[in-house]
Formats: sequence, structure tokens, C-alpha cells
Amino acid sequence: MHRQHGLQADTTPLPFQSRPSSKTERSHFQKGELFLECTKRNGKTVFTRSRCSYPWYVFQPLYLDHTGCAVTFLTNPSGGLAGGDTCSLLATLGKNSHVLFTTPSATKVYRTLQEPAVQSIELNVGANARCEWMPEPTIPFAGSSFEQTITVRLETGASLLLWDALAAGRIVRGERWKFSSYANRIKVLLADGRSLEERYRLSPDDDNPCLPFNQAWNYTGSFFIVNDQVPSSTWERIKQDVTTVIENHTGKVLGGVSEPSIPGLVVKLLTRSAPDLNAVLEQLWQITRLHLWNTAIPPLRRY
Amino acid sequence: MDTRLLLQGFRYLDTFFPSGGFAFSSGLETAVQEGHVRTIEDLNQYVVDVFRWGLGTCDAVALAQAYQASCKRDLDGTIQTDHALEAMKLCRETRAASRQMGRSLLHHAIPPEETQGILEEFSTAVYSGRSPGHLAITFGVVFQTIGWDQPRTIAGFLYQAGVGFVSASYKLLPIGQREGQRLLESWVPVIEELSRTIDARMALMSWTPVQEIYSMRHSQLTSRLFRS
Repeated sequence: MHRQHGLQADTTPLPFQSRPSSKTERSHFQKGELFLECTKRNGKTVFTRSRCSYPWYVFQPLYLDHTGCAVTFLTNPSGGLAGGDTCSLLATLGKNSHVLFTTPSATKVYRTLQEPAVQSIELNVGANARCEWMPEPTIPFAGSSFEQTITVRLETGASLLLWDALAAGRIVRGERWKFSSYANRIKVLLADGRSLEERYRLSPDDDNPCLPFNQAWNYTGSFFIVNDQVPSSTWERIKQDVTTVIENHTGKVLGGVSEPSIPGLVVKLLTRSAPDLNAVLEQLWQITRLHLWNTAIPPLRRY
Repeated sequence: MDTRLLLQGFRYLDTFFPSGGFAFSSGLETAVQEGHVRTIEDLNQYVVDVFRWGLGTCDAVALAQAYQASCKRDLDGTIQTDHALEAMKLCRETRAASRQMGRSLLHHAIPPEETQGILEEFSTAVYSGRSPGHLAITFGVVFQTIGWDQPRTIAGFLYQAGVGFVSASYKLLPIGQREGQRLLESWVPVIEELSRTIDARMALMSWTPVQEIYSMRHSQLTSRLFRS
């Protein structure tokens, strides 16, 4: 996909630039922190405060359509996460703001000798704000250990589109389910205290395979769509369209959609290939955006 | 253990008990209709995965937490665990099945006269909408109240789930009584291991994406024998 002509990146300098601290330069491990505050101003979302340390790098927001949605690519110039690395992100989205977080490529987790690589994401989404967390999949290499926590707090009327995908390994090398451990926790909390949670820890070995009942699936992903003010008829229409997309990919994709314990939908997918996963996700994402906001996916250009 | 209370527990575990469990297949009906579970070996793998990665690491842990909270007469802790389990059940049909069976157990459970537990308070919380009333939580409270120990309560919970799968498979697959009994026997070691190792301090976790997807797809089947 190509960026539309006439739409420019915001060239305003950020308050802070990513720069390795003297501590991280000396340290064997990377400890990256990224703080971001976003506000809607004059029809578009701007980053009012930001600060990051290596290996995080936050680019200035891109405006890829006319909605004022700030698109940011979360970049790790070191190429991936190694054992002992800890990366945290705290983002606060002001009311009515709209931020789309994505990554330019998959998150690679390298073989780990002792400590796991840890990634902690915290997203606080203000009233009627829109938060899209749409990274590329995580690829845990053979022998790697990874722990991820994603916590999202939504104020009344806030929307969340959250995608989280895991590859079984470096599939083209024939590497499947060879990582040491993979722990994942996604928690979404509403203002009234209700929540949904996906949490698992995988430690595959020959006696304890991750997907023994697997039909050779190589990729798994969860897509969470949440908003406490959307009428049930809209959820029903999204569900019907999601079901149609999944059925159209029968054989390549095993998927299902259902209503979680809070207002919204959860879609679960298993695919054999990354292109299949991306193709289905793109359609699901498009459907969701059109039904909820009457806007299409912005033309992201990753490669 | 008091024989009277032992028999009371047996009554709650019996297929004759009106828990409504016979109406649910936990996605098995979809898996059979879509051709992914065809043989007794497929069925065995499907259920053992559910024990090891779903019921064992999520529901049975929640049961242990509710059991321990009930021991301390901690109603708030019990309700908190019930809500945590509600949040973990991402599929509507699975959530509804667990709540319905939990409420049936609550409705029919008769606490011993001398009971000092929180069964009545928990029942009030469920019927007033303060607590979802999931089966695992209700199991923990009810069986703690009648004096069963935690490992046997977990074993009973998992065994009842296993019986439910076998019962469903009789209607869905060409499996006879003899094969069904062999399956139940083969699941005893994993049930025993889980009942011994599960600890209330563990976090609730679940990794059964295939079974979860089949549960999500169940409502789209054109003809259905089960409600999940």
C-alpha cells in the first residue's frame, strides 16, 4: 500500500529524541521506556509529550488520511529483543484523540540464555478516544523466552482495536514451537470495572506441545474490538461480516468470533502462513473501521 | 470423611443431577461436524488438551481460589475470582454454559444444617447479579461447604467434565460404552496429577485456541444437538 499524495508527516520536532542513555550504553541489557501523551487539537491528534530511551524509537506522527488519526510506527533499531531486555510503553490518549500504533516489521525475540525478554504495554484511553494497537506478529526464535503484558484502560465511549499475533517460530527454516517460553497477558478494563483477559504461558517440548491438536497451524492471533457505547445491532453486523470473511478463507484459516464479557467482539484466528494471516486481518480491520467509524484503513507503507 | 457428605458430593457429580451439563459439548459438536474429530484418538487428544491447557490451568485454579476463599469465609474474594473467570471466558457460549451449570448446582445444592460456610451468601450474590456464578466457583464453595478436600473437589470437577465429553461423544461419534469407559479410565492419571498440583496461588491461564474457535463457531452450525 502507498501513502496518499498531499498528506504530509507532522514535522514538528518532538520534545525528546530517542538517544541511548549512558546507562544503557554500558549495560549488556537494553531497558527501553517510551512515554507518550496525545491530545486532539484543531481536528487532529498530536503528541503533546513524548520521551523514549533505546531501543524504542518513536517517530513523529503521520497523518495518512483526512481523519486526523495519528499513525505511529514503534521502532526497535536493535532488530529484536534479547534475554534480559525490558521494554515498556505508557501511552495516554486524551478524550476524542485517535492513535494508530503499529510496527514496521515483526517483533523478533532472540535465543535467551537466562532472563526472558520482557515487554510491558500500558494504554490509557480517554473518553470517546480511539486506540488501535496493530503490530506485526511476534516471532520467538528457538530457545527464546518472552513475557508480554498489555493493559488497556478505556474511559466511557473509548474504542479499542487490539491485535496480537504469535508465530510458531521461523517457519521458513522449519522451526516450529522451539522457543523456551512465551508468556502473554492482555487485559482490557472498562471504567465501570468490567474487564476481559487473555492470559497464557507456553513452554513447549516434546511431551508438552503447544498445539497438539493443531492441523499444522503456524500462526495464531487474537483481535479485540471494544467500545461500551456501540449498539448491539452494530456488533451483530460486524460479527456477520467477520464470519463471512473467515468462511471465505476456509482451509487456509480456522477462525471464530464471539462476544466477550465486555461490550465488543473477540476474533480468534489460526493460519498456516503469514500472508493468509495478514490477508484476513486486513479484511477484518477494514470491516471494523467501516462499521464503527465509517473510515477505511489508512494506507500504511511498511516496506 | 463423613459418609453422608461423601454421598452428597457423589450426588452432585452424578449425571442424574440436574446441572444441565448434557446440553453442552464445549465445541466438540463443531469439531465433529467439520471433520476434525473423527476417531476415539482425536477425541482423546481434544479432551486431554482441554484438561491440560484450559480447564486445568484456568477453571480448576479458579475453583481452588474459591475453595480457599470459602474456607476463610471470604465472600468478596470468592466474587472477585468469579469475575476473573468471567473475564477469561472470551466465548459467549462457553461463558453461558459455565454460568448456567453453576447456577443449577447452587439451586439444587443443600448445605448441611451445621454448615458455617458462605454458600448461602454466595448464592444470594449470584442471584442478585453481584457474581456471575460460574460452575468452577460454585463447585469450590459447595464442596468446601460439605467437607470435601480441595484435591478431591478438583478431581470431581474435572471428572464430571470428562463424563460430559464422553456423554456428548456417544451422540456425535461411533463410540460405544466400552470405549467411553476406557477413555474415562485413561484420563484418570491427568486428572489425578492436576488435582494434586493445582494451587490457589496460581494465576488463571488458558491456551486452547482450537477448542475455543470451535466453541465460537458452534452457533453457526445449521443443525445442532447441543447448546455449545
